[in-house]
Amino acid sequence: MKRRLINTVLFALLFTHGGFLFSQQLNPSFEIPSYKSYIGLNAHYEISSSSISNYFVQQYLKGGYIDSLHKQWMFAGLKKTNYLGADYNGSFIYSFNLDSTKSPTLHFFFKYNYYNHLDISFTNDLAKLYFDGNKQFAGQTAFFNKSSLQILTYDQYQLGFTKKMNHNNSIHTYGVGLGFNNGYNNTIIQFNEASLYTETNASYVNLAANYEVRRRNKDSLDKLFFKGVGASLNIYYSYKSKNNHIFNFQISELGFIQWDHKSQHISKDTLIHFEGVSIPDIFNIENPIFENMNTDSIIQEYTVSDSTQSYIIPTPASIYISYLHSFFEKTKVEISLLKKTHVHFDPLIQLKLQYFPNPKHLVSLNFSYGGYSSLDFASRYQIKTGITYAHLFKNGLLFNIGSDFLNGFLWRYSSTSQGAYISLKKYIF
Amino acid sequence: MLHCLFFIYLQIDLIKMKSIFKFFIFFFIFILFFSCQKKDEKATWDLNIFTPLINTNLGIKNIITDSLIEVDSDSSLKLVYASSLYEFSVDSLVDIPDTIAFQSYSTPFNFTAIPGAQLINKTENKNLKLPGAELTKLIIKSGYINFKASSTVKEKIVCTYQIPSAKMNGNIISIREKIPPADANGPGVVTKKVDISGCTIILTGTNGADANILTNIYKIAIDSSANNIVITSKDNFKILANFEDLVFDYAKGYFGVQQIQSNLQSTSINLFKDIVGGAIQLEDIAFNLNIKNGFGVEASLCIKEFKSINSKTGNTVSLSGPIIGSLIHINRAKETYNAANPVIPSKTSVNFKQTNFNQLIENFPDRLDYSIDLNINPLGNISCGNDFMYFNQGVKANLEMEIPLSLNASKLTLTDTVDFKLSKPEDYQIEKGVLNLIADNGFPFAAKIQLYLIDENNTFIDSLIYSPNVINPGLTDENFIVISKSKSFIPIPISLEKMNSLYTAKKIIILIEFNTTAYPNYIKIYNHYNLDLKLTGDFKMMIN
Repeated sequence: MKRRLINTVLFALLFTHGGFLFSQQLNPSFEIPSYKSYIGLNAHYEISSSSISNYFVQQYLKGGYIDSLHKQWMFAGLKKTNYLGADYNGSFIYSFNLDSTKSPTLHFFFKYNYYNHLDISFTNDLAKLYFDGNKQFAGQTAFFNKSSLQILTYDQYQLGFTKKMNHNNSIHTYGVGLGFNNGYNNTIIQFNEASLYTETNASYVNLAANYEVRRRNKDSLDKLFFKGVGASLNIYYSYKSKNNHIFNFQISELGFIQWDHKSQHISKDTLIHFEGVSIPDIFNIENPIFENMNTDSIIQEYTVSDSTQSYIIPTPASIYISYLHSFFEKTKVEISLLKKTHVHFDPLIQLKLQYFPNPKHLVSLNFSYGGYSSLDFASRYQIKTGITYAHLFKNGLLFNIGSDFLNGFLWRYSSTSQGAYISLKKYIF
Repeated sequence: MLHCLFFIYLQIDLIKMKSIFKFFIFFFIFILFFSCQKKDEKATWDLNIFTPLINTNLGIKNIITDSLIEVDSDSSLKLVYASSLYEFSVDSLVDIPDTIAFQSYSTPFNFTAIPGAQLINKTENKNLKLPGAELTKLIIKSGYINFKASSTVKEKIVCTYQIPSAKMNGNIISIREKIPPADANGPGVVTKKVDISGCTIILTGTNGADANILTNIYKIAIDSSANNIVITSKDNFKILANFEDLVFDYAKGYFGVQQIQSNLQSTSINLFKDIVGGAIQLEDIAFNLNIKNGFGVEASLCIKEFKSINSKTGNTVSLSGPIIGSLIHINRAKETYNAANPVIPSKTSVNFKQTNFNQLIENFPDRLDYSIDLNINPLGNISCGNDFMYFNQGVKANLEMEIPLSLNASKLTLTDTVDFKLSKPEDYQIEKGVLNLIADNGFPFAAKIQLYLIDENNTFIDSLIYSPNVINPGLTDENFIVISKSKSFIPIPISLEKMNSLYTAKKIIILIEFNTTAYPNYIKIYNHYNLDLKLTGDFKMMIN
C-alpha cells in the first residue's frame, strides 16, 4: 500500500494530467449517408510532456533500472518549468432518432465517458531531486515553486441531441449534450512556493513550502460511486458550405465536480529545519533512533488532514475549432485549434492531410504543435507527426485507428509525446 | 510495460463499467504496448541522498553523572563524589539478653489449698548482666515480651507477671493469665505475646541507684472457681519471660568499653565505570573521611587498611601515609532533650592530604577495600553513666571526594554501549554511502572514536570507522583555555556489507580515546565546554 501510494504520488508529481478525447479524431470525414442510429466505442490515451522523452516515460512505467545516462539525458531536456499530461479515456455512444423519415435530421444520443486526467507542472530542480537526490544541491537551494499535480478520475453519463438544418445548400449542424459527472478520485497538490536547501556538509536541510492539498481518494470503505458529483455542458456547431467548406466549433466538458464532505483540504505554509534526529544524551538512548523516521509518518504528517470538507473543481474543458476542405477529389485538408482549460495544455494546432484512395478507406497524415509539450518551435522534437487509418465497411461498420504522435514511437529518445486512439462505430441506415 | 498496463488497468478496475467496455480499453492499450512488454516490475533508479541523520551535544555532564558535577566560581568544574564507607548502628552498641525472667517453684510439703489461695508472691531484681555496660534506662521502639507459665496442679491456677519499672502509657507492664489444670498429657501451660512498643524501662532497681537491674514480680494463686486441691511436693510452677525483636528508641547509662573490629569490607565506586584504558593525572584531589557520631559516647577510629581496586586491569593501589594505623578520636554527641531533634552529632573530619590518594583515584577504581576498627569509650566511664543513644543514630563515616577537573589525559579511553535498531526499508535499498561524523569540539582534548556493532548475543559484528578517526581539540590560548571550537570530519564508508551489519546490529559500543592538548600540562575543564556531533549520510540508494 505504501509503495503504491508513493509510486502513484511520485508518478503523478512528475508525469500526468487529464485530457480530452476529442471526438473529431474518431470521426474521420467520410461521406456517411443518412443513418437512423449508430453505436460506437472509443478509446484514447496520451502522455505528453514539454521536456521528458517517451523513452524515459516508458522506462519509468514499464519498470527496470533507469541508469545515470538516461537520467542525465532527461535532465538535459528539462526547462525551468516543465509540464506533463496524461489522459486515458474511453467512451460508449448510442445515437438514434425518433423520426420515421428516411433522412432524419434530429438525433438523440446517450453517451458514457470515462476520464482519467493527470496533469503535472514541475521545476527542473524537482525532477532532478526526485530522480537523483539532493546531493547535487549541496550548498544550494532547489526550488519547486509553482509545481503542481492534479489527478482526476470520473465518468459521465451524457444525454443530448444533434440537429441538422439545410439552408441555401449549406448545412448547419448543432448539438447540445448535458452530462452528469460521477467523480471517483481527485488529488490536487499545488506548491505556491517551495524550496529545499541542503547545507554544504548536509549538517542541516531547510524545507520551505507553501502548499495546498485537496484530496478525495479512493477508499475501500466507501462505495465507489458519488464521491463527487457534477455536471458538464457540451456544445457542438458545424457549418458546411455548398462548396464543401466545413467549419467546426465545439466546447466539451464545460462543467464541474463537487467532491463530498469526506474530502480533505490541507493548506500549509511550513518551514522545516532538520538537523537529524536530536539525541539529548548519546550515552543514554532510550528508544531506537530511527523508529519514527519512516516515509509513511512523514507523508502522513504533511499530506493528511484530520479535517474534511467539500470542495468544487472545474472539469478540464476543451475548445475546438477546425476548418476542413476538399481541395482535390481524393484529398481533404483540415486545420484545427484545440485548447484545454484548467490543465497545462497550450493551444494545439493540428494539420491533417487526408487521402481517400477510395470512398471506403482513409489515410491521414497529421502534424501538430503545442498541447502539453507546449508551443516551443525552437525545440527540435516539438513537431509531432501522426497517422490515421480508417475503413468504412459495407455493412456500416467504421473502424478507425491512429496516433498523433507517430514520431513518439519512432524516436523515443527525442520525442516527448505518445498516444493513440481507436474507435469502432456501427451505423444503421 | 506490464507495470504500465497494470497501473492503468487498476485505475479502470475501480469503476464498475460494463465488462465489455473495460475489455475494449484494456485490449487497446495492451496491443499498443505489447511490443515492449516485460516482466512485471517497478522502475528503479539510484538516488544520491545527502542528509543529516543525528545531532547531539556532548557536555561533560553526559560523561559524568550530572549530580556529581559542581561549578566553581571560575566556571571550572569539579567532581564531587560522596559515598558511605562505614556505619555502626545502635543495635551493635546495646545488647540485651533475651531472657529476662525465669522462676520455678515447688513446695517442700503437702497442703490443701482453697480457691483463691495465694501460693507465691515474689519480687526479684534481675541483673541483666551486660558485659561492661551499665544501662539505666531503655525506651523500646518496638518489640515483644513472650510470656509462658506452666503448672502441674490439676486445678486452674492464676499467674501474674509484672515489671514495675517498665511502664507503657503510664501503666506498668502486667501479664495475668490462667493456667489450665494439668491432666494426663502433662502440666497445664499458658503463653502470651505482649507488644511493648513505646515502653520505658528503668534499670536502676528498687533503690534507684543501680544499673542493669530489671525488677520482676511473680504471683501464683488458686483460681477462685477451682476446688480445694492438695498441693504436693511434686507439684511445680514455672514462669518464663523473654524479649523478642527489640528495637531501642533510646538507651542511657554507661555503654562500656567496646572494641568493634571490622573485617575487610568493600564499597563499589562507579565514577570510572566507562573508562577502559589510558591514564590521567589529576592536579589536586581533596579527599576527606567525614565521621559523624550520633552516639553519646566517646570513640576512636582506626583505619587499618585502605585499597583502590581496578577489577578491569587487576591493579591494586594501597593507601599509604601516617593516617594508616593511627587512632582518630571521635567526640560524643550532645543530647538536646528536644524530642524533635534530640541529638547533635559530633563531626570529625579526616583529610588524606599526606597520603597517596591521587594514585588511588588515578587507578580508576571500581572498588575500595578497607578495614576500620571502632573503639567505644576508649577512656572508660568518663560520662559517669550518661552515655546515650537514640534510634537511627550511630557512627557513620562518609567518603567525600572533590576532584577539580584539572587534569591531563593520555589515551584515556571511555566506552559505552547503547541500544541500536535500524530497520531495513522496504521502498529503497541503500547500496553504499558514507556516513560523515562532523564534530565541533569545544573541549581541550583530542578524541579518537570507534564504533563497534554487536548483535543481540553481544557478539561482535563489525567496526565502523577506519583511520583517520581523530576529533581535533578545541583551539586553546596560552592558559590552555579553549577559545574556539575545532571542526573535524570523520568519514565512515558504508559498503553494502556494512549496511547489512547495521541492520543486524542491536547495540553499538562507542569507544573514545582522549588526549589532552599540551600534555603533561594540567588543563581545566570548564562548564561551557561541549562537543557538537552531527552524523550525516551521503548515500547512494536505489528506489524501488
